[in-house]
Amino acid sequence: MITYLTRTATGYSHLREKKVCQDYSACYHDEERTIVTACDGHGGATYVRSDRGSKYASDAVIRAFGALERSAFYRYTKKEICNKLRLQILCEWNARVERDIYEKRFTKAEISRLDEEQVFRLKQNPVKAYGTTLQGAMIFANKVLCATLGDGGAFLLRKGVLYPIGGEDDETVANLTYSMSQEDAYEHLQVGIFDFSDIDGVLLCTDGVINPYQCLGNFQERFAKPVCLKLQTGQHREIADFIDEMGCKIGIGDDVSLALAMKSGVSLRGYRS
Amino acid sequence: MRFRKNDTITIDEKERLVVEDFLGDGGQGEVYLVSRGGEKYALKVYKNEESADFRYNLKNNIDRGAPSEAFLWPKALLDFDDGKIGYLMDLRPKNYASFVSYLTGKNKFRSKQVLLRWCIELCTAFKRLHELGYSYQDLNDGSFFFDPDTGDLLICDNDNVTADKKNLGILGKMRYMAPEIVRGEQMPDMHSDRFSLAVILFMALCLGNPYEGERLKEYDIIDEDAEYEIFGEKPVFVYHKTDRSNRPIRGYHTSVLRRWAYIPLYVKEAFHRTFVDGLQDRENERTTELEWLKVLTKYRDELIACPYCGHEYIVGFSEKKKYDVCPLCGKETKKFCTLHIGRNAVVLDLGKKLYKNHVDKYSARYNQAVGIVVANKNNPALWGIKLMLPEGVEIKDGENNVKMVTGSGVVPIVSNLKIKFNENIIGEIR
Amino acid sequence: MEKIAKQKLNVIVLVDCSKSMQGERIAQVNRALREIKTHLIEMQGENANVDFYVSVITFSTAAYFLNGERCKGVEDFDFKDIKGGGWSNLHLAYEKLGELLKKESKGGIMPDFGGVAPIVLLMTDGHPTKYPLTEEMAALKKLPWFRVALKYGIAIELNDERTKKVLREFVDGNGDVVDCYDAKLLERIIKIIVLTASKLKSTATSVQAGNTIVQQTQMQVQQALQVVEDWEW
Repeated sequence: MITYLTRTATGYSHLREKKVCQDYSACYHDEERTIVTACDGHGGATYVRSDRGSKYASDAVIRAFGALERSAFYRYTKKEICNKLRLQILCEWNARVERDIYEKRFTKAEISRLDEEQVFRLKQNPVKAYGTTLQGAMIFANKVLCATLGDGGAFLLRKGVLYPIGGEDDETVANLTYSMSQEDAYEHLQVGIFDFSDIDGVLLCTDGVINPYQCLGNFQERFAKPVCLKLQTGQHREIADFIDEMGCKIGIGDDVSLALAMKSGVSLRGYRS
Repeated sequence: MRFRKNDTITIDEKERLVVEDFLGDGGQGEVYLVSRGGEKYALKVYKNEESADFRYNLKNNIDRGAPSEAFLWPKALLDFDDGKIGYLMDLRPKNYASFVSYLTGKNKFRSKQVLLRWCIELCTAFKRLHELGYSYQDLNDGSFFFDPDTGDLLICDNDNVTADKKNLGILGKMRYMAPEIVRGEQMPDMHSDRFSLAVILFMALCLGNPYEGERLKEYDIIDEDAEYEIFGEKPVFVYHKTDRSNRPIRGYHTSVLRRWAYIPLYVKEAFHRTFVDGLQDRENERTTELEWLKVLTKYRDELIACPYCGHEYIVGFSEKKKYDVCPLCGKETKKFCTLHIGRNAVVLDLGKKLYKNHVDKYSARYNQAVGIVVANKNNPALWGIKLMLPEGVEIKDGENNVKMVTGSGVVPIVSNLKIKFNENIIGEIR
Repeated sequence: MEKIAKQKLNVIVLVDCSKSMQGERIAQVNRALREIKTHLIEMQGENANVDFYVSVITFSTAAYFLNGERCKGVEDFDFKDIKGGGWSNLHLAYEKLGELLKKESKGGIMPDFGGVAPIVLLMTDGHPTKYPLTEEMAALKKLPWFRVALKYGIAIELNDERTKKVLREFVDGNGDVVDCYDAKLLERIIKIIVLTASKLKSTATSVQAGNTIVQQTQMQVQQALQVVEDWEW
């Protein structure tokens, strides 16, 4: 049995500037599989549609992961499956974005805050307006699959300890991050497959959640553990409230998204402080 | 390995070859570095016994000699005691890098001009090969080498060059083979060579394969069956005008997306003809070497370099979109004079060259320079064309003043200047 | 409302303490740093977003972290007087700076997650002993935290085009070089730069290190310096 939760809240700096929430989180659940996502549309002036970008990213992950059959694990190697999923997620996102560009031209209101050069660049490469990060995970066939691109966090949980998924990235500092709108997005989109038997669950979040804690140890002790504990004890409401509070008051002003999926009934010993 | 270091091989009881090193292992044979009387050569030895036809073909090729200098051609045939054969050839000079290393990004051409020079050499070499009645048949990226600075071409692996329409059993490499060959409907010949030539040109100019696009995502894994479908059964050109189902994937096929946009229309048309129309009509609709040469020299003639960032791009004579600013840095495009000779329009930027084919309509020397645009040493704002001709030319300016310029002199670049190269060829600078 | 944690805003100052800085110049620097500490503590109290952390790298023949401390909360930072003497090995200061501008898990002072682009101030009165500094500069430019940092350079009573070139290269893209024609003004110039930048960054509504902060800082610093110069006439 899997217990899961996703929650997104608008950041106070967005509320103040009357900007829409650019994060998006979603989930899909049936007897076979559980998929959770947390995606963060970029905040800069030129990213006028990144709220849609993050939604498309989330949808792309759910679609690509959702289409995976059990038989694939017997027919193909892990690497082949991962590469195939990377391509599928990218193509799915591309297709949604391109359709949106085609059906809905940029309005005057959307480009009102941009200067001439920014408008020019936007016209040259409209995909950029949808730039977003992507974090997604699926629990299926006793495995965890995880897709990650850009900043934010993706962790495996085991006995109260967080294990980062995805390689070390020294280029992601301040607000520099890889993006789905990049020309070489495929290179930076990572998909991994892990055995689920030894793991308690998976935790995904956007950078608005993790940045206030500044280092992994802090994040693990002061956020991850208490939240996992609450999930295990059915306190979904409290977690949602805390995320909302992070967004509108106690965070760093950025939008926040959390996506969490765990086996129900894991030993709580590691999660109590 | 058949031979070890310092082994001696005797040919015809006259010559002795000393094995110095093992150079590599191909599918068909092994290649060694040998020395013969102080000179070094490469020796290829076939692993298996080859058919009599094969040996005959090889001997024939050796006797006829290389079609041109671009071919690293077998020089001498060797028969070994155990019935196996091999041949000697010159060593590949160190300055050449493999085309594969260009595709992977390891080595680059010094500039787009140099890249085009290489492409033109490639077409010229193939034209020559086909004129002599040969066909290459095993065209793939591993056979080509380039000099990153000069764009010189070297073609190796000439084992499978045979007379057109004869075949030695080699089909080629999947992604380069013409679809009818993949499907087994035809044996390789000159027309399938032309298809493969177009693939190599596409890869050189766009750094991608012309049939690899969105369709990739339909397959869980690109195995032989998938390749058969993508390259043989139902190939769809990535920039097919009406069928958009196989466009390059944004975020994945980065280079193709970036580069195709800036290729001139007439080059795109040439690719489209071969990769779309050329599927149905293999004999008439595949762009020939001569057509490629015309198209590529036109492309080269149009290139200019941005004085601010060095980016090379076309002036865009035949384009719908304007190249008023540099596509890379956005600064305004400088104004240039253009030399019109016959059908050629050569944009006169520093370093641009005039070639033999510009001044001689029937010449096939597309890479022999007869003039180059230089700046006056004392006044860099003044430009001229430094000639490299055997004879001088007559120039006439806008006011009908006539002057002679020697074969190694400099023609000043001014508007409305007419240059008489000979009775038939008069160029005008505008 | 109490935030989860205030973000760290690092203020890094590189001080030339070569022989030529002895006397009036270094005295001005010392006074400036002491006053900055006071003002930053005040700013910190009024500010809900960030806490200030100070790092001072002194360089002459060798480069050191002042007090041996790489980075200290402004309240705890102890400014011992810097003394002048020795050569001007700027390249060593660059190396020390490179050590700081990495994630904590990699040995630097920047947080592993999040973080705000730091303020870096380099002041020198000229003639770096090792020139050119191509290698060291290239190494710094590789660091993302260096690239996003808001950088200022102060040319102290400098007529040397070479040194000015070094300073311009240092701030390239994200900052400005200020000329201090008279050592007597040095203290005020240092204060204006550090305090203006700190104020703007700490009140920024989000942690985006966008161009707007750089431009605003440049504008305000220029305006404030204008006043200094006018006053002197």
